[in-house]
Amino acid sequence: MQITEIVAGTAVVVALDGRLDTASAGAVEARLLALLERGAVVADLGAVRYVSSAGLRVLLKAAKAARAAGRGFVLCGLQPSVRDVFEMSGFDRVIAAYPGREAALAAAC
Amino acid sequence: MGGYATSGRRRAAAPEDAGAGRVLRALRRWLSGGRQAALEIELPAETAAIGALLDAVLAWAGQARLPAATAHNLALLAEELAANTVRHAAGATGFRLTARPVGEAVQVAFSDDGPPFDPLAAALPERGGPLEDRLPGGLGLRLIRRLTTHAEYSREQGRNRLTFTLGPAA
Repeated sequence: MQITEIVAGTAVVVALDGRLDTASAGAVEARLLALLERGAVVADLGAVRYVSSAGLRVLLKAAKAARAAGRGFVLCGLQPSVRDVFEMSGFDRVIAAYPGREAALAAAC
Repeated sequence: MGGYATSGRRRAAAPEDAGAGRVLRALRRWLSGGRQAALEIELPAETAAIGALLDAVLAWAGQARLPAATAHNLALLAEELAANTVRHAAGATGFRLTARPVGEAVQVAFSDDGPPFDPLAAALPERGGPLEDRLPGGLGLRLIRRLTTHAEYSREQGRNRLTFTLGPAA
């Protein structure tokens, strides 16, 4: 899993590239939680083809941390197979997801 | 074929690199040549094996030319089942996964040597309360029931064995 941060004003876009699974969950969680201490975060999953339940747990933890800290946390770029998992698990009702970064940034800030 | 063998060696070494501290047992066999080849993989019940399993499953799904959605669901269930074994099956030493393409679908068998556990019969956690207040415990169990057809559980010779079909309804 490659994690790239792009600063966009007061928010940070975290572009993930790879699988969000049991193996990568810890590193992604640590990065998201650290960034959420400083400001809003957009997680760009455009290059993530696979999200397992371990990955969903990470995103849920980040969403809860964001809510507690009063910061924005949204997703963008979900691939169809990933969106299926989101809908199946009911996550689409908890974490907002947008097609592109710009809409996601506008919503997060 | 050559590419498959090469990447197989790289993958098999990864858990050792990650410090699993045990020799990884990964057996992959082409049971019957060509496009209908089956996947058979056996790994120790430890966290590092889950990544190796996913690597093997996704590489095989590509080789077998599974439809993308079927490949994704196969990976998803393989990870859920392996993670269940690694996290919750006290005393389990390993798990085994086989997958065989049948037309556009895949027949899958997963077994482990943990204590008896039937994922098709296990109670699901309550779905009450605001969604954000519950981590998706039981999500794996839900996915297994939701994505599979012809799912059957049996306990055979000290092993849990789950068989199911993934993909377009036959």
